[in-house]
Amino acid sequence: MKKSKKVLSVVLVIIGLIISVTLFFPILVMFITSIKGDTEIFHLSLIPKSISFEGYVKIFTEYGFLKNIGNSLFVATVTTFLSLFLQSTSAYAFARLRFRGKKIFFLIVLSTMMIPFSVIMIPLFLITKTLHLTNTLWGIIIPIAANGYGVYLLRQFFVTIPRDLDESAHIDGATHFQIFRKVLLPLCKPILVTLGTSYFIANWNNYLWPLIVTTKPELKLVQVAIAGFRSERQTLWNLIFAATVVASVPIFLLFSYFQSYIVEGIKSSGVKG
Amino acid sequence: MNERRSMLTLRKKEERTAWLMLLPNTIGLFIFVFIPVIYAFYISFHSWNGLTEMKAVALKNYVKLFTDKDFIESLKITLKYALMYVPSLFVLSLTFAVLVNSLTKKLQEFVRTMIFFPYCISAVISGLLWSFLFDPLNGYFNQILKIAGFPKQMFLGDPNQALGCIAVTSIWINVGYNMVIILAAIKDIPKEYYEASSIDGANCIQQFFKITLPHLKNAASFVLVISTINSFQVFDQIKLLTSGGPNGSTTTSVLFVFQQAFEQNKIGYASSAAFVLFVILMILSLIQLKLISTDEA
Repeated sequence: MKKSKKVLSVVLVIIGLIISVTLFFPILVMFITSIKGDTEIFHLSLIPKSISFEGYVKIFTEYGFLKNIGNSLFVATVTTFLSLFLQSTSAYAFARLRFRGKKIFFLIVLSTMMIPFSVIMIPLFLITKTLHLTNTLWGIIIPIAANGYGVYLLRQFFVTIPRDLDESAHIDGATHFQIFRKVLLPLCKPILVTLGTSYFIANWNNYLWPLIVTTKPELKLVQVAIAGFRSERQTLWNLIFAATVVASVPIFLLFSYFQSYIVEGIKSSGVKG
Repeated sequence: MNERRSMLTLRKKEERTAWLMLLPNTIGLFIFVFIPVIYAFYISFHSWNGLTEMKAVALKNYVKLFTDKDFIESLKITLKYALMYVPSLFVLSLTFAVLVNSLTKKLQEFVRTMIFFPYCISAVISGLLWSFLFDPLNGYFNQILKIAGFPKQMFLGDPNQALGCIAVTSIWINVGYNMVIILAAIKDIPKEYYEASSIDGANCIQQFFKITLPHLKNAASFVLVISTINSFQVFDQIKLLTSGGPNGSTTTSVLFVFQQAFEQNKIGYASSAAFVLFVILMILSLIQLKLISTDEA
């Protein structure tokens, strides 16, 4: 009995490793192809015969990829902080303040989570155009900063924080804005980091909306630029993969620092929602 | 009397603060979610190319939709994609979650990271990466097939295979996310159940079907419905892998809407298609709500 259990656990470890390696393999291919020379791109070897950083040099010197990175960094950072500001204030009102129509209003905010982007993308573009925001980076940011999901998640978190804390601050004469900023927000760091990380990743990876809003080359975001590398002339795979590796670096960094937060966020959005 | 008045002003003040704090996000939701929904509905009853004036056509767009072979085909393709994607994604996520759970803690973290990482990479990058692997001429998969003695496949170039290839790509992207949800649910199951059943002589397989699976009902229904809804909305991967081709064999409904609106400038018609899609998704969401609420009872 004991022996068979040991065998089983060894088998499980092996299967687990095989699955990990298989799923990670494409990412390895991406990295290795990005440093391969033109002639051996399709060679089925994971050790390049000669290492060439030409792709990396070209995306920055000939294709202005640095500009794309700058645009994406700006859009993702601003959208993340704007979203967190908009949603945490709303969430505070829903969690702590009394006002008429609270329940129905909360339901209305929640209902926005059910509206798929594909349904509103056309009028969203038209409204953005009416506001003279198309072909600006703000036109990518402003229309998607407000959402119901963050309000819901933050409210759920605010509710779990004991009221005694804000009550004592209240007695000391603090206003609601002060309680929100000085008492609740510092206590909400984990959930803010979780939400912020997933917002940053989502915005950094966003493709369809920036594709619709901006047409000027100097406003292209990273994902749109990368998608464009393929349709231009022939497909230069080492150049494309150099760009995808560079575009994955911020995600990789965030991922290694905040993995546990990201995973927590998924759990709380999932089963407990 | 005085006290009551001050209570009243306090409540009024609180109410004012509340609305002030709600205002920024609400304005955003109003202008960029509610108005667009109503606007989309309005446009869907018009013929419009986005430049000249709108022409009211009543239900003509909707009538045309249900006789439009391309639209019906796009719905069929979406459904076919969902049928390929959802069950295999579910089975894989469940298998991976059970497997990861049985490993030692350190190994768990390593394996989970490897499986989860593709989820964080953008769909654009994943699409490019897999179109490289699926390349009909020299792609890695074809080279591996050749070594194994099988004939070359067209993959994305073959109308019969392209949709399946996209489903494989999407599974690769999302399996980590769904595994994390199921894994969390598995970890919530009290260990005592397993210990007690071990004493009673139950084996691993019996434990899986009698203990693990029944406790995963909530997580499983969440994963199933979310991935169904996502499969109806898939866009990025398809745009990158096939752009709807070959021969329109991967033109799902969202791609149909995108092509009609932004490539053919039939904005009214595209809006009506988007609305039909919306209704389908609403029905799916309601089923989701129903499933989850019956599970809690």
